[in-house]
Amino acid sequence: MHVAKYLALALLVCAPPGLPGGQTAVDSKAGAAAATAPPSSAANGLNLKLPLKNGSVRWAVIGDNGTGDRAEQAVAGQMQRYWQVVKFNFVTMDGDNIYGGHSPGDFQRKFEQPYKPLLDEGVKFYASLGNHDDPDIERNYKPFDMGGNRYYTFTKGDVQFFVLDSNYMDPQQLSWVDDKLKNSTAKWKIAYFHHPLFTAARYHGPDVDLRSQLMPLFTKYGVNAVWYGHEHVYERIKPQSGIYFFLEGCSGELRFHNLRKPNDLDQVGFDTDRAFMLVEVAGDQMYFQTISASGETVVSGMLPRQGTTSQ
Amino acid sequence: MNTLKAIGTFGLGLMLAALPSSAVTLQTPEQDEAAAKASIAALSDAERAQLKAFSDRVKAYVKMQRQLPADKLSPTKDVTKLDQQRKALRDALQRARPNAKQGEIFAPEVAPVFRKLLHATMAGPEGPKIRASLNHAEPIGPRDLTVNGAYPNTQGQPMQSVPPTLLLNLPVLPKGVEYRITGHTLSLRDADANMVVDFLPDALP
Repeated sequence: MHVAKYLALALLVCAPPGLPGGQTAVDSKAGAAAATAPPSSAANGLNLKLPLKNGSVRWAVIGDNGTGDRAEQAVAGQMQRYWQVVKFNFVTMDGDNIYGGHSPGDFQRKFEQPYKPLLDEGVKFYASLGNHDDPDIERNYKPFDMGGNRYYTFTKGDVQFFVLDSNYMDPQQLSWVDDKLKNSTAKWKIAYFHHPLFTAARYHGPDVDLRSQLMPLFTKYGVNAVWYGHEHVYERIKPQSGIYFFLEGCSGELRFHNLRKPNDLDQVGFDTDRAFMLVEVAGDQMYFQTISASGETVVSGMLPRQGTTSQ
Repeated sequence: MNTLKAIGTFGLGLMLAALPSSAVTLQTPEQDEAAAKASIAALSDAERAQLKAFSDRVKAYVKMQRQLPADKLSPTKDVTKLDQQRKALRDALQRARPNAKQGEIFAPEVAPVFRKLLHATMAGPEGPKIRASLNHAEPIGPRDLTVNGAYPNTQGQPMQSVPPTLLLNLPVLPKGVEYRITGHTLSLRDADANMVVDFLPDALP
């Protein structure tokens, strides 16, 4: 498959030295000058790795965040710091947006308060549903921008997002996915949902039944990248059938040292701190940076759109 | 027979991805669909008629629910309002079917058909991956379910995800009603009112 060839050639990833234990840094560090941080990031004391190109689509990714505790607030604080420079205008959520009770106070404490600075700036949050979420309330909770739907799609620039409900992948939803992907003309097709199709985490493991239904659709219609959570770690998984996979499930919860080591699935695994991701799509290039709750860059890099020789 | 036609109709033409090694042997979606059809096809005419009658009862329930003079949930930031609307819809449903009992929709005639379908599915070639999926998703143990009562997730308990291949082997439900699994019990949940419509004990092996 030619896609794999391009991946091998063009993957530009760097991981910082001295990162806390638990990271499985197996990415190539060759050609690590994937992105040049703008001057403003240095002024803010940030180690920004995104290029911030004109007209690019920029967003943040969180998952398994809705605890309302100090760890979630720490990640939200880092998001706010980076927002000052990156100005991402939306956040995608991999599910488990609100753990435990779902009273109005819970929504305040587990979502509205931690992300208040971002919400006040007009940053939109696009949620998917996890197994700890209340599907009826959350799909209708306006700040989650689900429009009353368990699954939905939205487009930002060159990127179309397909937000799925992996808790209940019924025939109607699979048919919807098939139809929406088939008719998508977007340059980048990105899917996200809660349950992992591939993971080296030990607690749950992958959902092979879900995988057997979704992967044929993703490969048939050229999905470029997939995000999910459920496992409380971070993983960048080796491309599967040419598709990029990320697991971001530690933006509030964390399961220390839960990744199998060694494993042949991860390019990077991180299970010793909470984290979130920044993503920037510019033309045929997707830049990403994973940042821990303490502000360290776990990994960053650039991935070319499949089938291109983007540089 | 709309229900039976609907089962598995979406999967045609799907392709099997190159999957890494796994603890279970995976089937292609075509094989899953074929297995689902075979499960249904293995039923007698009388059993298929019972499934059709089940689907008609579910449709009648949904039609009744939609005619109730209760606000349906719509997007708002007001969580209190959403809670109240959901409770009001559940109250209206309880008033509309005050004598509803377990087995009214999963009627005694169709109960053995569901058990047969589910047992055959779990014992079939797709059984291992369905089991793996169930075990993967924070299995929910037995719960006390009450027809017309709130589904037992109101204290923040996680909800068990339902494996897609299992859903492929069951009659398709209209929008607003879902199959849910707690332990060995299969239930019907009203997804607007978060209410147990009916349930079938010992449905899963």
